Amino acid sequence: MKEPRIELQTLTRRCNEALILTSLGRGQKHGYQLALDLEERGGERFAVKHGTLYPILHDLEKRGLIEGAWSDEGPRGKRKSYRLTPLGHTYATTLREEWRGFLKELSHLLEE
Amino acid sequence: MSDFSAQLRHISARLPIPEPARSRVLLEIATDMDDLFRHLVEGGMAPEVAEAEVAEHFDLSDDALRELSQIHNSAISCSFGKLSGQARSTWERVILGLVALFVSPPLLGAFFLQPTLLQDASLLVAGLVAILALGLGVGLWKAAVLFRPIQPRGPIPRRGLRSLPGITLLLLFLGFAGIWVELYRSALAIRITPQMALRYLVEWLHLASATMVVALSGALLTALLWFFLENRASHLEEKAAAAILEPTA
Repeated sequence: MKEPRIELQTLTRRCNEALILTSLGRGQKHGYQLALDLEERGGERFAVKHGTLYPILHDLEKRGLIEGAWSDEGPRGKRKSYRLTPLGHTYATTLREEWRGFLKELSHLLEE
Repeated sequence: MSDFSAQLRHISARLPIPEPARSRVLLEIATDMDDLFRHLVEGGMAPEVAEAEVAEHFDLSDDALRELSQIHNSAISCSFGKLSGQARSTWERVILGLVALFVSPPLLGAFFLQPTLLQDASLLVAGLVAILALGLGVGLWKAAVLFRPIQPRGPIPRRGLRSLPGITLLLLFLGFAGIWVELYRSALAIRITPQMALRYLVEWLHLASATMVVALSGALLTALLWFFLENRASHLEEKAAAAILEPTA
């Protein structure tokens, strides 16, 4: 079967989704912890602007791929954390496979 | 905890989404800002430098805010928000109070002053009463939560509140279903004994009107309950959002 084609315009978004879902696959996190996890695991090579995470997180939550829950903690009395749903787990696996294939193709393309 | 109220106000002004989503988004951003600030200061950064760093990290672009608005401006939440928001001005509240005062007693009075009303209604009235009891139970539970003297900080728990419009619709649906079920039963009886047709039709009218009185009274009660509680929740959420945006002392 032919591999599905990846639209280049959607790459950044899909990359962010794959990173967020993979990070949440390692455990429940607050938005801040998520950004920190991505930066640390990226060996400080990637800079995550925290503000850019919210549209992606809320979109993933709306699509049922992650689940947000409020808990009574922190100086402001409430705080929100996210965890992966079973649907999100399946989607994350597909996205990772897609990325592995894409990176392989990309390295072929970039060979001199 | 540092004061990021100015930045939160800047975000809030550019975030046209209905409550409770708006105060939830702001609270989520505010707690993450606090966390990052603490992390940077604990890592040895000077508080002034850490504040600037946090401000830069949470400078949401217009595109990001537009995307958030699209996510939270669903058709259902907007219509619910507009419906409950209609009673926010004083005059509109007064008008609603008058409607409640003049419309509900005749219906509810018929309910309570006519002891045979439930016996006269369709067989489906048992379902109507059970659903009404469920609606009143949900309403009382939410009223107890929303009118607590000391409200917890953060988002207002709305779980269960939006089931009240559903219960209202279910009561109306069951009321109309009762009319048609009884009409069908009367039609069957008329087919067997056509000479009694007039009597059966009068009986059907009696049953149908009693059923509709119960259904409409219940629907009115649950709709009013939802309306007042939804407004109370919105009021608390607006206060919570204002508290997030106020500069800390």
